[in-house]
Amino acid sequence: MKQEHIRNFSIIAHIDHGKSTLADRFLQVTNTVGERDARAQLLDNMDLERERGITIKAKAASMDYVRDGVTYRLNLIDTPGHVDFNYEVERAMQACEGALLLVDASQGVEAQTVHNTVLAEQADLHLIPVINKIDLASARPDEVVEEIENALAIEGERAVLASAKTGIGVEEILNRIVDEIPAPRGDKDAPLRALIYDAEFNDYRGVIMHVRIVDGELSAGDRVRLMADGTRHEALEIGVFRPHLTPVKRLGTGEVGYLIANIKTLNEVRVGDTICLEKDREVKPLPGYRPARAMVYCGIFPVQNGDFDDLRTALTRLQLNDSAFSFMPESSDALGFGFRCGFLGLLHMEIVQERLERESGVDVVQTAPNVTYELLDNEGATKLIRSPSELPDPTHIAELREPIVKLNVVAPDEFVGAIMKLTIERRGRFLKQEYIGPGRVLVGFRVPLAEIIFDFFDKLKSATRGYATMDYELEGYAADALVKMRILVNGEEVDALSSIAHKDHCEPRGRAILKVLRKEIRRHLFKVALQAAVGGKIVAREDIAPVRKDVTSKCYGGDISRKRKLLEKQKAGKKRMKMVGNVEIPQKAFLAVLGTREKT
Amino acid sequence: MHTLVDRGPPGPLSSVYIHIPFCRDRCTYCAFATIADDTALHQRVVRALISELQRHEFSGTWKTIYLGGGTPGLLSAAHLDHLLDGIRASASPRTPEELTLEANPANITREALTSWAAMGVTRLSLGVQTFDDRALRSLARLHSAETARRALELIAEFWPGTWSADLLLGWEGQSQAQLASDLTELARFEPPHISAYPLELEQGSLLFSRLQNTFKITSKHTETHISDTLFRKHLEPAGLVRYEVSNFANSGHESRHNQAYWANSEYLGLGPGACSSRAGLRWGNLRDTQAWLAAVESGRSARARAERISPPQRLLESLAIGLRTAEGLSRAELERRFGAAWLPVLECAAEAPLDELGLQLTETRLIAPGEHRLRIDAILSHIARNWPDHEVEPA
Ligand SMILES: Nc1nc2c(ncn2[C@@H]2O[C@H](COP(=O)(O)OP(=O)(O)OP(=O)(O)O)[C@@H](O)[C@H]2O)c(=O)[nH]1
Ligand SMILES: C[S@@+](CC[C@H](N)C(=O)[O-])C[C@H]1O[C@@H](n2cnc3c(N)ncnc32)[C@H](O)[C@@H]1O
Ligand code: SF4
Ligand SMILES: [Mg+2]
Repeated sequence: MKQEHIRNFSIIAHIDHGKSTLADRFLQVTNTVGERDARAQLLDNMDLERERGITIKAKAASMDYVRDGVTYRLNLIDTPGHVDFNYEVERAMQACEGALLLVDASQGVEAQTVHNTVLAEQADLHLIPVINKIDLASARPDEVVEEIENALAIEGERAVLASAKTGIGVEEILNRIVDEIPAPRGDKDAPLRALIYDAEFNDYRGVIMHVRIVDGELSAGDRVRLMADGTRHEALEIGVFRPHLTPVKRLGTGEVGYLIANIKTLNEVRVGDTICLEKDREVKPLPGYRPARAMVYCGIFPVQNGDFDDLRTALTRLQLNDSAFSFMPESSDALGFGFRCGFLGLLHMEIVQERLERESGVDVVQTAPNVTYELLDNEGATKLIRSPSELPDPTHIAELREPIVKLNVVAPDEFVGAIMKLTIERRGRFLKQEYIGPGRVLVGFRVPLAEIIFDFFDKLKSATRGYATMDYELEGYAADALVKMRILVNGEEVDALSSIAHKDHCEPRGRAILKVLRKEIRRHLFKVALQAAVGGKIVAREDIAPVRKDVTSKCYGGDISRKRKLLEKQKAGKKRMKMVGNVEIPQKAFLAVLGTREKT
Repeated sequence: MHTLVDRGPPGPLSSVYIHIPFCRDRCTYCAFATIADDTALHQRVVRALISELQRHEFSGTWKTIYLGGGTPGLLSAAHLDHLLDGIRASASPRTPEELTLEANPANITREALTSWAAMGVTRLSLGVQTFDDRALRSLARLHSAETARRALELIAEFWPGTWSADLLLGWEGQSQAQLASDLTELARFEPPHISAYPLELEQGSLLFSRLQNTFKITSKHTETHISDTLFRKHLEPAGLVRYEVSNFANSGHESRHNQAYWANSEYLGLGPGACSSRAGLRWGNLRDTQAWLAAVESGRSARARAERISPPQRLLESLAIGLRTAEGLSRAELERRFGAAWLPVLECAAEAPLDELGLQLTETRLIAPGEHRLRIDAILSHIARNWPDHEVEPA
């Protein structure tokens, strides 16, 4: 394939604006996928993606598109729309020269549309705006054109009116891609430089690296070197995504494809690394990626202590396919040995945990998530705090800082009052308000991340009848009156339940946490006292009364086995519990801190 | 480490339960092996019960015989007589110490009582359940409160033997006041024995599937029981002793058959779905009446599933049922059956001194005294959580 006939582009948009559906149409129109294999959102091939109806991983597909007798190779990358997966979008962009920016014709420009546009411009991509879903009765293309001009500073007349559902405008988009998106710029005569922009692990084939050939070319059988660690391998198989893996003999400059090199050790491959030929000595590595910055952390512990190593393997494997996810060993008095894991947001956390359970089968206990804090100690040194249990005694703390984000909310203007009220309650500061189109505003705030990352979006949705969308970006760290709240069970501190909170929020928050714990912990034969403490002061208390009477179960009739089996079940149940002293705490309780925010 | 053994039951097999699967209608809560009454089958079932017993090659004494169901009262006097003759023929002496027949108030007539007495029934167990007509209807019981009252009067007047009334506790909507009034009303008939079990939601019952469909299954369906206060107020004055958590009797009128269960003795169960415990095994029969009939009539075993009970399992059972009785368990008998290890195993699983859990070890007995007996399932659940798995390895 001639370099000048290659076009690399990603499809970007706010969540649900139709990216994956548009990718379906492309695959269909270019005959990449036959009738028989076609299904909706074909590229969303993970179980979790299909169940949730959202894209989680960016995914590539190569298509051949013939125009005026010339065959063009179009490499598309479908990206996820949720704010938690911005990192996937950024990485995909680095493998492309252009992007289709989709805007839903009835929803209009939303918070994530604004953010994605900024990212695409930073990555120097040629943008083609597409107003999608114009088949909808509620479509309002004229207003959306205006929003694109106001909020994104893109000329409205450049927008293609399309429907990924009915196929309107799809040919036009393909033509615009061919005409407008520049061919890849790399030097075909220079030594090979290929960017590993993603990777996955396959039980049979080992690591499958997703690569973009930046300079030179790669042929099957070449001896290659991964530059970060200097490891050498043979390119056993190279190929393109059609969208399933399809071997080819050669990947030329500018092409996107995969490389299998019989690599079975997971940590040998780093996403962002550069591949060169083994014989080339003087190659300069590509800039790679900035590391993803974890926004929230939580502890993940094996239920059975013996599963620690299995859990480590499972996490390593997940990390390969999700380089935004990070982990490090951690130990807890209550939960034993496990890992502190970093995520880009709560959806990301939920997805990783679910993938972990499905793909590895290790039973895990997860602690409530928290943001990272920055600690300034009395000696003037700063330290990153990833878990409340890392906090030293208050006397050693000069200052405790929390992450602050710039929050953008897009909504109809009638809701500005409600949005203000909600955000100010969460310690937010108003920054700006801009009209992006008739009756639609973008409101900007500066707000602590901890206040918006858990349940804020749900609250925002209900305050705006579902209309508002939001997006945020980390700005820095700032000090506030933050304290550690400990949870005691029968006087014993349970480190995995402590949290960091603003001092004015501790009491209601403590009460709410204890209420949830009270529901989760069964009655014991003795009284169980639950306390929330800040420093030496108890700010909330709940007691779980001992069992006084009980159900005298399975006792009529002569089937004594039945009764015994019922008791034996208790034993199986206990295996899934964590003991604190002689109190059994079910796994769910460790997430209690999370579920309680809304009541504060 | 301590080695538990099982040196076998306290005495030879001497209890038999006979399941008569026929019912006129199906009560909503019931999941017993029953079928719609079919008189054409009575004779075959009676014959099959007798041949099932013969397969077990029993020779000894039946101290207790229990005719349960289902509704044994639906069998004619002739069939019952035939059945009992067949059972008794296997044993010597031929008269058991206790011969119970479960009856529905709708089947109680003066004639029935007379004929049951004549064929050797010594104890009647009457399914009263409640005197609340609305509840009886909603539970699909066959009888009304009035029918139950009449049956109780007939028994009081004409029944020569001892008897018991079954009460059902905790049906949906039952208030404490209704429970109290059931107890008051029942006490007026001076029953020598009462069994009062909370309604259990059984998989396979109509109630279960109905509640499952409406997502309404909650713990409240099994919460109710007779508190100590209720007992003292309504039953104690009638001379009833709470000799087991759910059973009350005048002295000398305890159910011998149930006491055999509670001592974890051997027993034989005949008929569809009946359970047996013998020679270290426990098994249940085929639950389907036709399948059970087909097996027995063709000379095959009617067993559906059997399990061997390991010594730790057996000890857990003995505790679970024995600690529900007022007299608890005999330390000498525990030591004889399970070896000296029974106590260290128990103490180890308890993780706390026994008296802190609510168990009391006297010179001769292990008991759950007073109020602790009413929360015995919680105590046992606690113990069961740490119970040794199967055979405990010798040190
Ligand atoms: N009416 C109509 N519906 C569309 C159109 N395009 C997509 N949809 C529907 O919009 C919903 C979201 O489509 P997806 O393609 O999954 O959206 P996405 O942008 O890939 O979503 P994420 O990957 O989760 O960000 C689906 O129910 C699609 O059927 C369109 O042109 N018209
Ligand atoms: C199975 S019946 C047989 C006797 C007779 N058919 C009758 O109903 O009285 C024996 C006793 O078991 C009780 N029983 C049946 N199912 C029960 C359940 N799900 N929960 C509690 N007791 C139950 C009945 O109420 C009855 O008192
Ligand atoms: S409770 Fe008794 S009468 Fe009702 S169905 Fe069950 S066995 Fe038959
Ligand atoms: Mg998608």
